[in-house]
Formats: sequence, structure tokens, C-alpha cells
Amino acid sequence: MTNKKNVPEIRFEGFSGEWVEKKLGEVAKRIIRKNKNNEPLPPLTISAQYGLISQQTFFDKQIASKDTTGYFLIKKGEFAYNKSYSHGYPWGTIKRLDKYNKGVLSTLYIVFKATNISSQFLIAYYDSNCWYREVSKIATEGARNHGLLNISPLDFFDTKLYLSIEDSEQAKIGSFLSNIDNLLTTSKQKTEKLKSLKKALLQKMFPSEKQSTPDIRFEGFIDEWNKYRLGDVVNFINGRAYKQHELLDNGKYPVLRVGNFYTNEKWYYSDLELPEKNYADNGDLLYTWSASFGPHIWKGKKVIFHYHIWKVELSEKLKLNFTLQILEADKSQLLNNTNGSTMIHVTKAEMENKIISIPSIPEQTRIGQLFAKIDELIAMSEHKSQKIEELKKALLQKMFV
Amino acid sequence: MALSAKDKATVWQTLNDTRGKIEPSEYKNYVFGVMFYKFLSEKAQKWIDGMLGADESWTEVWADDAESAASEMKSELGYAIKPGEMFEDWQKAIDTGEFNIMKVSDSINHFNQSIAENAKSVFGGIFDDMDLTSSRLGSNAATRTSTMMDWINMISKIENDDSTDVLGDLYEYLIGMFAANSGAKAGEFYTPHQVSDIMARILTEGRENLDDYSLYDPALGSGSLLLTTASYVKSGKVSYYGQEVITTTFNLARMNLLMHGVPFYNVHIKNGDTLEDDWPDGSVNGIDSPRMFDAVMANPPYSLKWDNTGREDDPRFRAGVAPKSKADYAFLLHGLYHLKQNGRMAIVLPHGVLFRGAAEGKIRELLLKERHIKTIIGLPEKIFTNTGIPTIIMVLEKNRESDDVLFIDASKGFEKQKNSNKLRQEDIDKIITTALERQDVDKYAHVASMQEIIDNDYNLNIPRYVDTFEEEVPVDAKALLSDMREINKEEAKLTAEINQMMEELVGTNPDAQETLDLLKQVLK
Repeated sequence: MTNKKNVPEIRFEGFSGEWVEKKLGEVAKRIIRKNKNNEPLPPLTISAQYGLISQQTFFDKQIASKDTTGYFLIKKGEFAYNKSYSHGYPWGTIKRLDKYNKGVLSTLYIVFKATNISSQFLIAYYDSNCWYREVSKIATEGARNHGLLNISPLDFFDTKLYLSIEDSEQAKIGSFLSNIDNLLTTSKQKTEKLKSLKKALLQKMFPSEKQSTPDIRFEGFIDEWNKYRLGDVVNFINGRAYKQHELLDNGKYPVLRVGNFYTNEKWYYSDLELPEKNYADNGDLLYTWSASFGPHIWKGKKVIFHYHIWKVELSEKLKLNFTLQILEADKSQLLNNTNGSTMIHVTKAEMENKIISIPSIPEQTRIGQLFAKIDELIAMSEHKSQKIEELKKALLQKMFV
Repeated sequence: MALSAKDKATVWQTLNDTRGKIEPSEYKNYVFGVMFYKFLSEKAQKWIDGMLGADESWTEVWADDAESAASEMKSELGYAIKPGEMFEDWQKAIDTGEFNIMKVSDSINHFNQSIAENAKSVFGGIFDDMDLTSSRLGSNAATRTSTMMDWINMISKIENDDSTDVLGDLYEYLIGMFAANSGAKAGEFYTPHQVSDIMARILTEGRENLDDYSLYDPALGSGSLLLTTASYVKSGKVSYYGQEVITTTFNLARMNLLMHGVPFYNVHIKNGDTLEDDWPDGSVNGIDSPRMFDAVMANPPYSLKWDNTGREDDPRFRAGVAPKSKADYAFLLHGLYHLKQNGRMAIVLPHGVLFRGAAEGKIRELLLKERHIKTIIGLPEKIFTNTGIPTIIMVLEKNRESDDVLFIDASKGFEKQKNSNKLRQEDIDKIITTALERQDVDKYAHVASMQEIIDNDYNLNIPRYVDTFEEEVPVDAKALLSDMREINKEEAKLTAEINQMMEELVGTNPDAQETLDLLKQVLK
């Protein structure tokens, strides 16, 4: 974007002219239309991922009051700017209404429509980071603005942007980047479908409570599965509860906490020499049992696992990959049975008293192998979506001024 | 030797242990009162030691002619302390089991009666916040006596020494600790030393050797801004002026200055409302006679509500009257009004003064047109004890040749602490160096011309002038391509393997077989 000649670094063949600088107010018009007749329209919110979407769909409940006469009435094709920042979106998000013909929006949003600019181009432009710098200049800090950026509509329409003077170039960029977006959506849908495939297989390849054999199994296996109390075939070992002052910034062993499996990248260390059972080695089966829960195979060097994590020691009756899938299947059942509450806590006794069906070791091995491959495929698919996102980002970085 | 950080922390710990049920905000009045009395006693003793011959004693001299003994001490120190009423005598009484809280109240009463005429404004009522009859100290005289004994014993252990001001140093440390531990409301008297230091160094740069230097803080607090600024003045006489509206804080400030060795005749501090009436001097015989200062500094309460009715004719507010909901510009204009033609001013204000419109917009525009605003420094949020809002330091002068304004965005340089942020020495040095050099520094500082400011409609919001924007890291196209190739390859391999394994599955009933046949097609 540091280009003296005002041309994008990458553009479609056949276009060569310099782009021109405009104020947003010159190419778009602010909309201040209120829902004065109190039409029963869906109150909307902006999600970075889904764009303008009804509150009912997004939050599973409506936040706006019944009387929405004070709200803006936004029509399909019009844009809205949500001035609140969130992780990864430091200056908020700007999206176009595509999903519904009409909706209502809080007056905290700035609503506008494209007048002298390709609407599709504008969508792509606001998907890029090109507008951050301009908005950062006009945002003012105030005392009570937690989460909400202090930006006046007047200043917002004074922000500058560069655009091609040729409508066809704008349109082409807009539809191209929209296609990339669609590819990304398709790719994510594909991952979801792979997960459904796995679920379908999990449902059929393990016997139900009443069955002694599963509906689908590998050819050549005919023996009945045996039922066991989980606590009789595995041993759950709880991690050591560290006091905050015992956690060091560096030391001999990393201390693995629940958060480290998910988003937390901060590691603590310990120099304590503990009994062997308190350490997890590469390939050990662990289970996080508070807040975020589920089985994990530990991949990494030797660590001390913290409280809220069990190490699952297997008896000779169980194979690792098979046990992982049993616990996975059990986890989705647990999730189904909780009424959407986020804090789930399972006790050791509850786990130990679960009844599980187990086949012979060779059958376990085959089942474990198949699901390990499917898990890998799902991971690959997710990875692919990330790469498409990077591709989009690379293009956004180069295709605007 | 000054107290080490560890010694200070020990004192703070002891204070907390002996505090009992008294609120920190109230407790500090007693602790500081006792500390101050110890300071006055030691000062008096030192004067006595220098005055008397080897065979004389203060008791004898006083017995001989109390009036002339007192008046000699008063003319030198501004106050007198009777023999037997020194801090040391309190301690002795404790050691011999003869102490009673009445001894303290008697000493203070006598002290109040022995203040020199020309020192009334400095010492008058300075112990008033130490209520010795308060039930908080104890339900009866005996328990109050015992509480007081604990405190005297504790303060007694602090060794004062001639070469440095141990008590002054400790006093300032404790003010900071009390401010940090008294909740939001009570931090109002305290400006963190790091901020005072920045203001002081900008104010005094190149002026360290002036013979006479006058300082004024119209929102005095505990007086630490005055002291920090004065600490950079190397020679000559410094006079300290300040005004503080809260009486307890006004007393804190007087003690603070005196315990830092400022002679009483250089202390000119008033308990009053700066915005209400002009001071110092203000209107004399109906003529405006504002006293002018070499340096004006302030950290006033932010966006204070004030009564702005009928202020249009107040000569201080010639540039405009600040709105009633926000006195920020009223403090600023008051300070500027008292600045000498060649003086310098530094004031801490909330961000809003940079961009708010209406009356404040007009005042700002006029200040810019008259070239008063020299530098604007954006500070990190959460560096004050009583508020988390982001603030700025504005530096002003009266007669500038240039009309440019230096903007410094120092908001990102700090060390994160538990509940607050702290400027590190390197952050402080960078701010001061940049403020003095007045050069552009990439992503940090910019000297804006008046034209730039006009182009921004006199809006001084810092991001308009200092571009701290970080460009997004460019995507590594090469890595992206090889990643994607690897994924595609792996995906194809996995799919083939899974399909092969699925071929080996069988349904154990017709329904299951039907489902399986469909599932087998999914990945093909």
C-alpha cells in the first residue's frame, strides 16, 4: 500500500490507469432511516465470520427490545459499520446486508450505501486492512468506551480510500474476491461433512448399550464385545495441583495446563522431581476434565501435567487409538446431555463407573487405525481452509492501493 | 543514608500491622502528624545545639526568660517547642512508663500557640487532622494512650540523619503507598513520580542555574510536583506556591515541603478553590495583579464539574469559559494566566481536551493561534492510582516564535503491573529526549506545522499526527504454496487409505449394510 503511483501491486490484465483518492462520503451515502412504523423486522448484529446476521440466529436470542422504532432500518445491499473492536478486528467490522431483505440495527452502527462505487468492490475493500490506518486516525479515546471505538459518523465519511476509475475493474476485483470467499466457505463446509462422516461411523461401529456387537465392523471379526466398568480397564491419575508461586518462568520440566491444549501459549515450568506417574511422555493419553474437556494424545517432550488433567493408563485389554475414540464418542454424548452450559465438570468416579464395550485387541487395532486416519483427514481439511484464508489475505494485501 | 527500598517496605508493613481498625485514609493523618512532629523537634534540637554554650541547657534558658527564648527560636524556625515537649521527650516518657496521650495534645496545643506571625500560613492548623480524642483510636484515654505509644515507638525507630532527608523521602514513599492502597477516591493527592519527573525535566531544562526560580501548582495535592521540579534547580532561591482545596491534602502538602527541607519563608501555600477566586495575589485594590511564575505545573482533577456561571469577565478566562461539566480548560487557563512571558507550563489532562468541540474547541483553537501549545505527550492508560483513563501532558509557553506543535505518542511504552501500568526509566528518558530535541521519530513523534493542524480543524487527537500504525506482515507466498501442495498430497493419500480400509468393512445387518454402502461413496 506504499505505492507512489497509486496503482495496486497486483491487478487484472488490461487495466493500467492510476487509482484515485476519494473520501468515503463522495462514493457512499449515510443512511439514517429509522424503523418508525415499528415494522416487525429481525434485529441484526454483525459477526466477523457471518456478516450481518439476525440476533436470533447468532445469539440464539433477541437482545433488542420489542419496540424497534428507534433503530435504523437497513435494506439488503446496504452496509453497516460496527465500531466495537474484538480479537483480530482492532477497528471493528464493516459488512453488507445480503441475507435478508430488511432488518433493524442499533443506532450505534453507522449505516450507508454505495453510490459511486461498486458495492462488491467495497465489500472486498472492507475485508482488507487498507482502511485501518484511516480509521485509526479518527478514533478518539474516551473514559467509558470499553469495547466501543469512539468514532463520529462525520469523521468516518471523511476517511479516504483509493479506487479504480474504471467500473469494470472495480467489479472484476469485487467478484474475484467474492469467489475466493465462496471457495473458503465451501472448504469449511467440506470439513463439516467429514466430521459428519466420522460421526456416522462412530454411531455404527460401536455397539449400543443393548447390543453385544456393532452394526458395522471389519470383515472377519465375529466375536462378541465384552462389557467392562471403565475404571476396571483404565487408571485415571490426576495431575499435581501447583500453587502459583511454585510455577516458574523457566526450569527443567514444562507444566502442562488445560489451557495449553487450546488457546493459551504461556508455559510455566517446574524443577520439582516427582513420582514417575506425574509426568506425561510423548504418546500418553491425557484427559482434560474441567471447563474444556476431552481426550488428547500428548505429542511433545516430557512434561508434568497439572491438576484438571488426568493421565489415562491403559490395562492390557485396551489399545491407545481405540480408547481415544471411545472417549471421543463418550464426550459427544456428554455434550448432548448438558443444556448448553459451558462449564462442564466430570468427576473421576463418574468416569470410572461408565460401562464400555471392548472387542479383541486385533479388532481394536483396526478400528483405531481407521479413525486415526479420519482424524488426520479432518485436520488436513481444516488446514486447507486456513491456507485458503492466507491466500485471500495475500491477495487483499496486494490488490488495493 | 537514605532508606533502602527494603527498609521502606518494612515501615509500610509495620504500619499495616499497627493500623487496627482505622481506615488508611484516616490513619495516614496520625502517622504523618507524628512523623512531622519528630521532624520539627529534631530541627529545633539542632538549632538549640548550635545556639547554646556547652554549659547551658534549653530548660535553663527557657526557665530564665521563656518569652525571649521562644521568640529567638520562632524568628529562626517560625515556631517554638517548649523544653520537655520534644518528640524525644514523648519517647522518654514512654520508656519510663509516664506517658499519657495528654502529653501529645499538650505539646501540640503549645506548638500552635508558639507560631511566629510570619509563619502562621505555614504552620497554622497543620496538626488539625490528628484528632486525639477520636474514638477510632480507642474507646477511652487508656487505650488511646496505648495506640499512640505504638505509633511513637514505631516512628522513633526511623533514624534521621543530617545529610539526606530520610523523613522526607519516607514521607513521599508513604504518600504513594497510601494512595495506591486507599482505593480510587483517595489517590487524588498523588502524582506518580515518573510523571512528575517528565514534567519537571521539561520545565527546568536549560534553567537549572537561575538565581531566582518561582514555581506554582494550582492543584497542589501533596506537593510532589513542586518538589520534583525544584529538585532539578541547582542553585539560587526557589519559592514554592500552590493552592489546594481539600484541607487534609493541603496539610499533607505543607508537611511534605517542610520535611524536604524547604525553609518556611519560601512556602506560600493556600487552602482554597483555584477556580473560584484568582490567587496568588489576584485582585489587589480592584486591580488585577496576578503573580507571575517561571514554572507552572498541575495535575488537576480530570473533567471536574464546576460552577462556570458569570465567568465571562474573569480575566483568567479571556480565551473562553470551560463548560460546567469539564473544568479541564479552566485549570489550564488559570495556570497560563500566571505564567511569566518567558515561563514554562506543564499540565496533565484527559485526552478529551485534544478533540472535544463546542466551548473547548474554541479555546483550543485560540491557544493554537496564539502559539501557546508547544508539546503534547500521550501517556499510557492506567498510570495513575485513582483513574485508568488515558491522559496527556500538555506543555505551554507564552511567547513562542514558532507555531508548530510537537506530538509524542508515548502510550505504548510501559511495564505492565498487577492493576496498573508503570513508566520505566527508558520510557521516561525517551519522552524527555524527544520533547527537548523536537524532531520526528518514526512511529513515535511528529512536529506538526500549523497548516497540518488547520487541515485537521484544530483537532489535536494524537493518531492524526503520529502514525503508529503497524502494517500487516505480508503473506509468505512461497511457504503458502508448498504448504498447500503438501496438504493436497497428504489429503489424497489419506483418502485413498481410508477408502481402502472402508472396503474391508461389512454391515452385520441389511440396514447397516445399506448405510455402509452409502458411506463408502462419500470420499470417492
